[in-house]
Amino acid sequence: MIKVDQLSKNFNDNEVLKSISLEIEQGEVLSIIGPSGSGKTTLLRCLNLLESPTSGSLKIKDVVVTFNGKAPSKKQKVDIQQYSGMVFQHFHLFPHKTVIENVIEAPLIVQKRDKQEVVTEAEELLHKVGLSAHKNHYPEQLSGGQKQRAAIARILALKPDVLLFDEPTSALDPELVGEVLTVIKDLAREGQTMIIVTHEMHFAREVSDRVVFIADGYIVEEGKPEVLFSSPQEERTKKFLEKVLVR
Amino acid sequence: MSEFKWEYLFNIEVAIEALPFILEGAWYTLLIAIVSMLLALFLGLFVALARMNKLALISFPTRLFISFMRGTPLLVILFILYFGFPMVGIDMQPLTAAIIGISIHFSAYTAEVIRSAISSVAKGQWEAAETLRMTYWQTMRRIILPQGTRIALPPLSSIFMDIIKGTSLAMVITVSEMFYRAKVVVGQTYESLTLYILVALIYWAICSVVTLLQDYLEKKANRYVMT
Repeated sequence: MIKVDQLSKNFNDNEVLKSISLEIEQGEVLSIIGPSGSGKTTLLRCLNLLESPTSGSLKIKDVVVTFNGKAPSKKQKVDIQQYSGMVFQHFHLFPHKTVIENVIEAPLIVQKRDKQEVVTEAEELLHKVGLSAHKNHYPEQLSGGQKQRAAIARILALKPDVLLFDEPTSALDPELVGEVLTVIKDLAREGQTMIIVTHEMHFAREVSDRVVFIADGYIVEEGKPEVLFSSPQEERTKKFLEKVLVR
Repeated sequence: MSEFKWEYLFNIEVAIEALPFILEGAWYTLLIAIVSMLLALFLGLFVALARMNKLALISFPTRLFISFMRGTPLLVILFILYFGFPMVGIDMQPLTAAIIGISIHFSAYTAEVIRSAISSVAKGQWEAAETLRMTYWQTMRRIILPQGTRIALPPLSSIFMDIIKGTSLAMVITVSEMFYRAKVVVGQTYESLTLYILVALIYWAICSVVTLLQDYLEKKANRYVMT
């Protein structure tokens, strides 16, 4: 469903992504792991064109965008973004809207759908992420885990073909991580295509169909989680996993 | 030396007698202030957006406009509009000239307040809206401006008070607002201190209502912020 071909991204002279090629199938759950500053988040943001790649190409479904150093056009952004939805590390809920107002905003304003129908759907989504009791709360009244679940419900309201998670649990207190991971696991079970940048190795192992290890801006190794985590081939991968799996 | 009498300071009889005439002028003061404030807000929004535009072709002239408007006295702008423009065949009613002058002068100030309010909204809000496929205007109208309003309210109400007080300058281009009328009464009664204190109190009263309005709007705008 997604094909990334020789994608590179420079910030001035700094090459953050070096010719990344990657394919993701419909219904696949892909985790991206790697050390801080390795380019994981930049890669994810490039897939949604929140960041403009410097060169290479990106194909999602029937849309192909080729990059040549210029920022993609508005139309290219819209075309790519219609298929994907992003969940951010810091949630970025709209603070002036209640939880349910956050969820109905895009279906109502962007898709201009019928309000009654949108509200019913939003209530189902909030039930699914366990926030029915908090639907009329403002984001500031929620815990971090509740905020992230609300953010997931908000993007699910648009039924994106692929969900992009940018370190969804990194800003959470340890005891709140589980509730967010449970929601993501439920989505995986339903066959939602997802790309997850994460530091939660056990979670990545459990939920993913495939894991990609990125370091210094390129893909060092990729494979099935049971293989990559237990018998990594590359020295770089081994070192990284030793460090993070010690705990 | 004559002895001191309180009515030299404030002659209540004269004040009461003049009050209906003065208050009629207060309606002009309010009319000019409210219309000018609304226009200054509307203009200010577009000036702010133009000022933030990436294209120098748009942002540079806007900076020049803001610089000129903030760097010239309102009195001079009013003179240019009312006494200067007829030289090139543009004649305006005093009231029209006052409203145009005040609103474009203060639009430079509202623009700077609106610009800083827009910039104060976290970048993540734009990204969240983008990933929810909202357009620039949808994001601006539904996400950014409502949050910016919270930040902009206190400085905007200061500007509104400046506008209310600034309307008194319209007397020099013969607008029959409150201060102009006070001067007329002074011309007839020679009770200058009484009349000028009276209008000072009325300006103060109007501005106090603005403060109350500000408190009310701030409470509304802050409803989602926990303390």
